[in-house]
Amino acid sequence: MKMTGSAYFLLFLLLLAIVLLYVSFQLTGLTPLQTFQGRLLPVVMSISLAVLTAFGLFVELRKKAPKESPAGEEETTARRAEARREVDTIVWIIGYLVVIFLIGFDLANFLLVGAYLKAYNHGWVMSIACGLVWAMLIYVLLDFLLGVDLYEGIIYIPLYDFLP
Amino acid sequence: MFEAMWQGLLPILNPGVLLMIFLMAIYGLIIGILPGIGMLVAMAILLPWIFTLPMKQALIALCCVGGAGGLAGSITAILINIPGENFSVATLLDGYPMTKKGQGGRAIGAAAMGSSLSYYVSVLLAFAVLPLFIVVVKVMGTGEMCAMVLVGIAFVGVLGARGGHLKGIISGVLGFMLAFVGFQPNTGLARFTFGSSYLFGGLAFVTVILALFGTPSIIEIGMKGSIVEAGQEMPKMRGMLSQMWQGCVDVLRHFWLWLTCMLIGFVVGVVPAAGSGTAIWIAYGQAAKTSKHPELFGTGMVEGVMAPESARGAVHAGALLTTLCFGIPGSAGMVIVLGAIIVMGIIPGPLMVTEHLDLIFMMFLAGAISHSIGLIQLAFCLRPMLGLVYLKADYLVPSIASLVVVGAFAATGNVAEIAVLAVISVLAYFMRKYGYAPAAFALAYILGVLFERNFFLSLTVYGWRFLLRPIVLVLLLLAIYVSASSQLTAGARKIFKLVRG
Repeated sequence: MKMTGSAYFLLFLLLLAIVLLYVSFQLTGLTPLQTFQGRLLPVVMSISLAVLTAFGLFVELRKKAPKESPAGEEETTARRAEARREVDTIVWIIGYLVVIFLIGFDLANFLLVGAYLKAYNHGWVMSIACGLVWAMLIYVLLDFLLGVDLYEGIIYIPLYDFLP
Repeated sequence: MFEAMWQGLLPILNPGVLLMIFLMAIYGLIIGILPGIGMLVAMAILLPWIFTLPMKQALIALCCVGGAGGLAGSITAILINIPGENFSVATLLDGYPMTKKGQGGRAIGAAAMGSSLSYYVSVLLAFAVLPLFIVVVKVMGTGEMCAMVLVGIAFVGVLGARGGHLKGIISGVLGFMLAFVGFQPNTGLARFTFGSSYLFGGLAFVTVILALFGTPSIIEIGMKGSIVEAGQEMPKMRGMLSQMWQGCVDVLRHFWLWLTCMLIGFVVGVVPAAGSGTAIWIAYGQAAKTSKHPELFGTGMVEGVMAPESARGAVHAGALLTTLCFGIPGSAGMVIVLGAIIVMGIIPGPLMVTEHLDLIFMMFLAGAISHSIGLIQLAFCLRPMLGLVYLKADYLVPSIASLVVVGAFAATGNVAEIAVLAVISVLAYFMRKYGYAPAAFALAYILGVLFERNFFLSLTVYGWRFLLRPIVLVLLLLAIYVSASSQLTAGARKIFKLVRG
């Protein structure tokens, strides 16, 4: 029995199903009919989810681990590099979302493209130019042409006072 | 019916709309040609913007991206051995060997001609069988529609999950749970809102779709570092146009094979969720079976390219027919189309075929026209479009990430969408990583509210007996069989062995 990534995910889903089941039972309407209609499908679905994930977890844990052939040094290095890039990309995206919340879309778009390119060994000029072009493109397309009022962040940025 | 056909054609003949079709075809080709991103992400990114358009134009735009985007996937499969979409995998078996033999243009010509001819003829075929569908759809009541939703989710889940039936069904149930967020349609009871007024109206469709299909693709591209292998050179394009012509002639030379594969594609397209991924392999098998030289398949046979592409071209019309008439999507792309239609206030099913028949024709025609425009664009801009595939992930990841996030925000203008996007993106990424079915998740989420409304309506009108209505019963048994077929088969085998033993 070995806890793989897939088993951990199933365990997470099982816990989620239990929480959802609990919340489903707490739903209360003004009349018994309202309560029945409000609860019925969420309860049925969360019970189904719990049963299915528990069964999936049981199957996953009973699986015999495949005999691993010793990976070559090159393969191990490639796998590690890929895993690192995976974590890096997720961190970049989460960081981007946090930066948007703080300083708004226009600056965050510039920072994301510029910093991402710089982080992956592109020159300063190239990174800044690409960041500027992309941020301006999004600004012109959305704010200017489509009239979408882009979020400006919780931190006051004087730059936004000058943008049309 | 002819009047509906004319009404469907009228909005397309507007010069402004024709320009939009032209631009959407370019957009579909550009994003569709990028392996790992592809047509689904192209459609998802487009969603927030099309909702700012009038309804008919929005639907035309969505169909155009689907129509042209499908063309692009096979190009990378043939020229650089990387399938742009899962439905281009069979094409590379003979397409890439043809490129290695210096016949890449011929393979592209055969693929484009095969899929385009199939596309047009299957649209005509769809028009021909539509009256039959209308008769069937009109028989279906609320209970039957409820059962159809379950059948659709079972099919999409089982066929779309890489990790087995169970994971497909779990994806569908998870999608249902997400659909329950917000006010209950019958009683107005707020569910899973945790006191937040933002969640009262449920989660925004655009945000959920972008998180399900957009973010996981970005992470995967970022993880790989680039789409093509380091050092892989771009194939030579000299003499490509004349070779493409030869490929077109090849399709006409193998007319019966083309016709068979087109019919296979159309029929498979009509089956809920079977989609292009299934049709291409049946067609490839058919081509190999009927060939005089089956042993040469896989070494660069033009029939091996045109057969799967001809089937793929015909799937779209069949899938659109099932999506619009029954509300059950025939492929993952159709899940997005279905969601957009519902968000625009049109309910697929009996009402769609009686009140919005013109929209059905319009969507078929828009797809066919964009397919033709895409074909011309592809013939003249093959090299620059292929050049996009050689772009490093460093450029693709931040640009597509910002498009996805800005798109999610623009859908409602609420900054809380960013938080929702983050949460569902994480869930979607791990779902994709461990072989779940995002399409089943999306379908259940889209149809969840509709399912619940129909369910309680049937319960009020017929009581629990509605579950025993013949069509409902058959559909429910079908859903159970599809969901548990692998377990049932395994169980039956065990019993058989026991009996024999």
